[in-house]
This record gives sequence, structure tokens and C-alpha cells, in this order.
Amino acid sequence: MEEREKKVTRRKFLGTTLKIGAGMMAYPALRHLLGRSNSPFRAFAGAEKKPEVKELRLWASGTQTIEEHWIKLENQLGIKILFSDNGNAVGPVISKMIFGDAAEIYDVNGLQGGAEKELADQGAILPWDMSLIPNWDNDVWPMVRNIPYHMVDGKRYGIPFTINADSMIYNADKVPVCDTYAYVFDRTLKGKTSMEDYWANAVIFTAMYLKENNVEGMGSIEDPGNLKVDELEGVMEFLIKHKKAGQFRTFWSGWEQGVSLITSGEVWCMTGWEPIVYAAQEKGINAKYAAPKEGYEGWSNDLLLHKGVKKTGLYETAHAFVNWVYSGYFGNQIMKMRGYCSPTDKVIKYAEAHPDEFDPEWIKSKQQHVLDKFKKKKGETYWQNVRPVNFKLYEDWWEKLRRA
Amino acid sequence: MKGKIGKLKGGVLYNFEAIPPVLFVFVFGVLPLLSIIIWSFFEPTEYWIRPHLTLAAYSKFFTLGRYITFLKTLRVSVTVTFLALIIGYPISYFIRKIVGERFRNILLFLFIIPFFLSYIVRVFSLRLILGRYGVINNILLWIGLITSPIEGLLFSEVAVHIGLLSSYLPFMIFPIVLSIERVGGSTVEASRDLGATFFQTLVRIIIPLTKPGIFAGCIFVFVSSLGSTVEWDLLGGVSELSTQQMLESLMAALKFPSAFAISTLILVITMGALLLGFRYAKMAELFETLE
Repeated sequence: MEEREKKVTRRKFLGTTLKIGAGMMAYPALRHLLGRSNSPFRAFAGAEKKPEVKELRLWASGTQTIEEHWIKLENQLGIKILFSDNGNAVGPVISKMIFGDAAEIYDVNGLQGGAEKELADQGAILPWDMSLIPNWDNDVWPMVRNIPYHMVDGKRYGIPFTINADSMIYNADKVPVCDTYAYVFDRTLKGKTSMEDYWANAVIFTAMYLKENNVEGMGSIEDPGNLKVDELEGVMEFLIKHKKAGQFRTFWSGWEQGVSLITSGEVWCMTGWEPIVYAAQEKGINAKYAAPKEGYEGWSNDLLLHKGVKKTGLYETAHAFVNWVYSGYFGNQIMKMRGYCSPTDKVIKYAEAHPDEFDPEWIKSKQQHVLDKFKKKKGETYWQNVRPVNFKLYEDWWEKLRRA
Repeated sequence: MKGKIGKLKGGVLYNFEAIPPVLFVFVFGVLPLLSIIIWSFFEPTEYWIRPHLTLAAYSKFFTLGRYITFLKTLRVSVTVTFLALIIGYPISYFIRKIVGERFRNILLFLFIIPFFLSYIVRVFSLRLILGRYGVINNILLWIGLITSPIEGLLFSEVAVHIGLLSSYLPFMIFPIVLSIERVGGSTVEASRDLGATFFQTLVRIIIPLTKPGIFAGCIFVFVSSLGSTVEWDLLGGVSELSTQQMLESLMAALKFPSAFAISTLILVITMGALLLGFRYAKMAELFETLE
């Protein structure tokens, strides 16, 4: 009896093994057959086959994420965004990219514009292959096609993630007209004007004012966003002179400080971000955003391609992601969530085609508002550069200004 | 054992249970500090440093005028410490010796309450008091003492002093309250019985006995003020730059050796103050009270 049972067990074992083996061999063929679009067995295949999901590690300024809405990209292209905040401090980001392993452990960066050359020279980022980004077409706004710091040795390393243009916030009850940066340095407003406590902002605004009005013979400044040594010296001496004369009681840093200075009445006119105006208006202040004759200061938060994508095989995926960013949905969502602007006409086109998702009129007015700021000034736009050629000198001068 | 807190028979290595904490403190406390000191003598590269000994960072400290900011922070920290002592000592004496136990606990609790609030919010709220249209200016205008708002209250060195004092005064009060424990009621009574005036009792009996608490409070306030940024940032004017803010901007600009050199100087001053405290003010005795 025991012998018989053993024989049956062996037979059963062999039979089962054969069945499993046959099943494993047949599975790929069945899967292929069921998966084909014209397969008569498709109805039995269950849910539609989803594209393979690829994870793309995006390391960007915290304000550039559309959070749960990245799912749209995952559903459309099978790219899952793993977002990490890079802290938006350019120095540490560059240091981690070159000295650390950030260029390997993240695939795409979203950083304030200007660091392209330094990162490219150190081999931390790769040039974008624009043929893989067909949405970089005629819909892209002309003024962002030639931002000086985007190109290194004729290759494109930076693509704007979002852009905007900044000028001055003023309390219209105290300063009825504010159409030039001269108001920031106006002695009649002594102690009631301010600038952001960051050289990348304060210096370019001052340089724009000096250049456009040829103040103190500074009309020869070539690029207010990338000053030469002697130009920088002239601009900083001008700032120090005004600071010593008591023009500025404080420099502001951070959103809440910016809002507080205007709403508390401490400052009547200061260079800064437009959202501060809306926050001040909500608190009952007659705040307005100036349209200076010298033009607005443009800024861009740029998409950079990390060198690590070659190793991880995500080169094409990264390009597909950027192409998607320029397809319109992202621009609508980031405008709705943060008020930032994606510089392509596809944003409005998308809103018009999907009124169920976004209000086309609202989006159109917001996009047009940013576009108008750039059109305000004839000729070239001056772009804020967080890493000008002489940036270490900028740092030294700023320190000197603070001590003066 | 009394009065010998912290001493281990046979040395640390023979007390195995002491090895893990000592090792932890060495690796994560002492070693980073030593590294900072050594790195301050290294040469900067574009993005980091290399082991080529130089005094360049210390030289730049003087030639680029960074010592001005350093000395200013030092001066403000000393002034704030002194003011905290002047204000904090009577408050501590009042809390410990004059009021009853129930009221004492309420008072101590009142000094703790601000710590439940966000540090930034606490400092920021001072702007509403010191500002051009703040509480003080409004009161002064209302009673007619001034005709236009005083500009120098906010965004000035005065505002930084007020901010630091309001932030760190409790750090002065608590150790002094603790040290006043050491002054027994009978000691004060004996002094009075022998004909000493209150001032004589204060100078000859109370202050010497509370010296450890005074010094501990001074160290806490001084070191905290030296490392502060928020008060300078929110209340200081365009010229009010603290050493800590300077350090942050040096680190952001990747000027590491310069930042390490300044940190080394801060370390030397802090360690010097602590050594003085232990040597002359017998700061360790403060903890004997706890025992």
C-alpha cells in the first residue's frame, strides 16, 4: 500500500511539473495574443495594457511642483515624477551637483536661471536635444528663446520651467505715481524704500535704472544681469552711497517680510514680487505693481538635464517630460496653483480645448498679463542671473554694502 | 561623592557604561569641531577645500573687513548679556525669595510660555510694537510726547538689543533662580543680625553664593546672542549684519575656509568663556544644587 502510494505520488509529481512547464512556455504567446489590438480574444484580456511606468527624479524649487496633478503625466506617458525640493539656494545646489552626487541621484533639475554655464563646464548637466522636444515650437514665446545664460557653446542647457517679470510694489496712497526705479532712490522717500536682501535682485534693478537713465555715466552697462568688474563697482558704490545717506532702513527677505513691510506702512516703495501686491490689497492697502519705463526684470526657473540620465537610461524619458511640460496642461496647472507662467501659447490653447478643466478667460488674462510686462520694454529684456561671471565679487560687494 | 559630580573612579575607559555616550559625543560633537578648526587652514578650491595649509581665510577676515561684523556681534552680545543680568537678577531674587511658592510657579511659568510660540513669530511680533505705526509710537504720539513717529525704534541696533533681550532673558533668570536656592534664609538673617545693610548682604553674601548661576546665565545669553540671526534679520536695519548671517552667506557662496575660520574664532571665544566660568565662577557648583 505504501509502495502504491509512493508510485502515485511520483506520477502526480511528474504530471504537475509538465503542466506547469507547458503553462510557463505558453504564457508569453497567450499574453501576446490577448494583448494585440485586433485579437479576437481581447475581450478576455481584462483591463487595457498600461505603458510601463518610468520614474523620473525631479529636483526642483519647491514652488515648481504641481503635486498630485503629476498623475496626469503618469497616465498619459507612463512617467512618474518623484519630486524633491532642492531648497532653491543656488550655491548649495551647484555644490551638491558638482561635488556631491546630486547629478547622479536626480535626473532633471528646476533651478533659478544662470547656473547653466558653470554646471555645463563641470560636466554636471547635458545639453538638451531639442529634436526630442517638438513642443518647443513657434508657440514658445520669442523672448525666452534667447535668454543669454541658457546657451553654452551654442548648445541649449536651460529650458524655462516657469518665468515671470518683476518690478516695484508701491503704496499708491503715499506715492501716487511710480513709473521709474528712480523712486527707490528718491531722497524725498528717504527711509521709506527698500530692496530685496539678495544681490541677484537688488543689483540688476539698480543696474537697469543706471543704464536706462545713463545715471552717473553708467549708460554703458552692457548686461545688467551680468556685470563686468568695473560696472559692478560703479553700481555697488551707487548703492552704498544711498544706503549711507539713509535711503534704506531695511532690506527685505522672504514672502512674509515683503508683505509686512508694505502693509505696516514701514515701506512705501520697494522692488519685489507681484504677489506681494495682491496680499497687501487683501489687507486693505492701496498697493500697486509698477510698470517702470526701464522695463521689468525677467526671471526664469530652468529645467536642466543631469548627467546621470545617460547611465539610468532616462535620457529620452527626461526629454519626453519636458515636451509634456510644454504641451499646455502643466502651464495651466502651475498658473492655477502658484501664479507662475509657462511661456508657451499652448497654455491658452489647452485651456480653450479643455474648459471643463480650466477657465480659459482667466488663464488667458493671466498669461497675457505676463506677456505684456515683457512687451512693455522695447528691445532686449534684462534677465536675472543668479550666477554671473563675477558672482564671487557680487557676494563680496554685497557683504561690503551690508557693513557700510 | 558630594561635590564630585561627573568624576568617575578609574577614568572613563574603566567604566564601560560610559563608553557609548563618550564615543557618541566625540564622534558627533568633538570631531566636527576639530574638523572645522583644521579645515579653516585649508586652501579653497572652486567648490570645496584642499589640504594645503594657509592662513588666507584668517587674513581675509581682516582685509575684507569681516572683523567689523564679528566685533559688532560680539559687542551686542556682551551688552545684551549685561542688560539681561541687570534686569534678570532682581527678577530672579523676587521670584525665589520674595514671593510665595504658588505665585513663584506662576511667574516661572509666565517666562516659559513664550517658548511655546514659534521663535520667528515671537520676534516678528516686536515689529508691531516698535514699528513706525507701532504701539510705542502710537502711545507717544497720543500723549503728545512726540509729533512724528520715532524712526530709530525698528530696523536699528536698539531693536536688535530689545529682540535679543526678550528672547534670552529667561536663560538668565532660570540658572540664577536655581543658584539662589543655595542662599539659605538663615545666612541672610545672620548677616543682618550682625548689622550688615541689605547692600552689604547682597554684595558679600548673596552675589558670591549665586556666582555659578550668574555665570551660567551669562554664558547661555552670550552664546545664544552670538549665534542669533532672526533678531538681526527681522529687527535690524540695513547695517545690522550678524556674524551668523555673514556665515550663512559665506557658506552659500561656497567660501568654506572663511566660514570655518570665523567659526573657529567663535569657538575659541565660547570655550574661553566656559573655561573662565568653570575656573573662577565655579559654574559646576550650580549642578550640585540639583544634586
